[in-house]
Amino acid sequence: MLVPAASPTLTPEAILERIRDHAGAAYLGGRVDHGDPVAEVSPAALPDLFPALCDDRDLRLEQLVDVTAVHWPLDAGREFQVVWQFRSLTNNLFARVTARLADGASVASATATYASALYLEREVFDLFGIGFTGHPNLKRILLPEGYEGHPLRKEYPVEGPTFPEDAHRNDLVGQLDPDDFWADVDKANGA
Amino acid sequence: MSVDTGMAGARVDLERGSGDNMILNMGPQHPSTHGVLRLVIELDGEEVRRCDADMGYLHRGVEKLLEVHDYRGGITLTDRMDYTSGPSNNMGYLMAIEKLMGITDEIPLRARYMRTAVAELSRLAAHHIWLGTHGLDIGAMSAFLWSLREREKILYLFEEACGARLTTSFMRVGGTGPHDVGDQWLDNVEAFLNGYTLDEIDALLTENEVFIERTRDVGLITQEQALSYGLTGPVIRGSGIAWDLRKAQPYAAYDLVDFEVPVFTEGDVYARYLVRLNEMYQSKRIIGQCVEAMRDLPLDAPSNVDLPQVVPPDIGRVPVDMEAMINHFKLVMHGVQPPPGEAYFGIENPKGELGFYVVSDGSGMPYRCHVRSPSFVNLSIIEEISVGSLIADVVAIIGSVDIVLGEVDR
Repeated sequence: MLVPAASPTLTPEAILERIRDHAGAAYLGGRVDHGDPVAEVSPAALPDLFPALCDDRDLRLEQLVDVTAVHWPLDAGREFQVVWQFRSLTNNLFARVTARLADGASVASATATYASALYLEREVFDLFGIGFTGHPNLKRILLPEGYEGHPLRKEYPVEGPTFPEDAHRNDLVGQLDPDDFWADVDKANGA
Repeated sequence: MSVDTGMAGARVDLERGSGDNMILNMGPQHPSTHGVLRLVIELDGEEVRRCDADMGYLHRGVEKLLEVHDYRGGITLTDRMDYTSGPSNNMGYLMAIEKLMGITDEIPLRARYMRTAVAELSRLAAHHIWLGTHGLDIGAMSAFLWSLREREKILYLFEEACGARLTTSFMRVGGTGPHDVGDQWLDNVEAFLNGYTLDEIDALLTENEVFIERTRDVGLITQEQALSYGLTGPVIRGSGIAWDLRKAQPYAAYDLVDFEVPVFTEGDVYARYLVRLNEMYQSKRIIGQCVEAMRDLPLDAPSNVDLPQVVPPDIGRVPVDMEAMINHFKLVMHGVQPPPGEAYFGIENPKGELGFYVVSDGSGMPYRCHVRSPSFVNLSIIEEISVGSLIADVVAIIGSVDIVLGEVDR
């Protein structure tokens, strides 16, 4: 039976130091954000970093809790921020690692170390279009196969790509001819 | 007849399967898949050779929608994910925002007890749905009826507290919001607890030979698998890992109440059943302590933080006090505005760790809000542990992992 430590065995600063040791020159900076250690690394370090974080005896970040991304379209050349959240159950620790990528670039998959990445990375691929090299089965997971676009990118309209632009304009309510409206919808849907 | 399996082999002949094996399409409208989960299963006789889960039938783009709602409006989206435990989802979202705003330590005691009590009530409600449907899947009809009867009583309590039964949108950033409850509600909760018993269901299932036969040594999850697959909640505690965020990193009032974390080491469907069943007894304990503690607090104890940029003023002051009027107007028009930054907060939901990762750009709407849903992550283990089991056991395995498709698909 695995009984976790009652309280964290390392301070956030000490966790960042361990991550810096493992990432070496790829460590781009770290901070303690709302009590959580956050390390930024360059994507090149990731293939070796995942097993190192998992196996490090002091850290034992044995669970990859979450993988997600944030889109910053104005930040040319580093539009995507990929975020990994780790937990150590043994040592009761939490750590966040981030990496910045250019639009269209791929990042190393964590699936060789963490099986939870199998679904989580597919979700990021599906909703952002970020590739994960080394993922055994990288395909859409929430949206149907053949769906066009990646909805969580900032340029993707909330209403969906095929929604008529003036459909939600209040000043048109009552003036819209329903037949025209549905004709527009059908046209936009390619019917 | 040939069908698209969604598997790598693309189209497979339904009668013949690949080789001598047969492809079976289970769901998305199969009653035992607990919603709209579709499993594509390759069968050799009755034995599963491969299982591919296909989901997304309930995808509503919650994360995209959260970006165009203010923080208060986002609350209504969260309880539509895991709809079996709405208030608990609301709470996870609110606490992530509070962490981002740095006001976690300022939440008044009354609100902390209230949140704990409501979260545990929703854990009971969610576990009752699981208990009922899990029994139903395996053939125990009565457990379902008795279980949903108890759940109904909890939903009445929610309705009394905030007006809604399922999609509660309970509480606000900074405390309990306008829905503080009076002594009458506490009386009703106590009456519910006094009449609450699991003994009937316990007697019906725990020692039931048919139930044990269907669940023991079925769907084994090892400790290593549980860690690697990122499993959390009762599933990991059924595999001998005593991990519970309520104990490991206490939030709300969990550090002030006394409870135990049930752990079983077998890792099979039966162990996960025992974990949840024992957890329900512990929830009852926690709720009782919270009600008692709330009674001991003074009558005028605050239930929201005293911060004008977070909590609207008392409505009686608004027409007569200029400051209050401006404050009210600002909060209604712009909502709460966390400083730019990011925060991740995870709570122990009935299904496992429910985490919210919120990124703020300083405006009244989140720049990005990601939901780490326990059902989605826990579901991934099904593809591995169903292999080698019988087709009938897949039903027991799905039930024991306890997923809600509203949360898987978001």
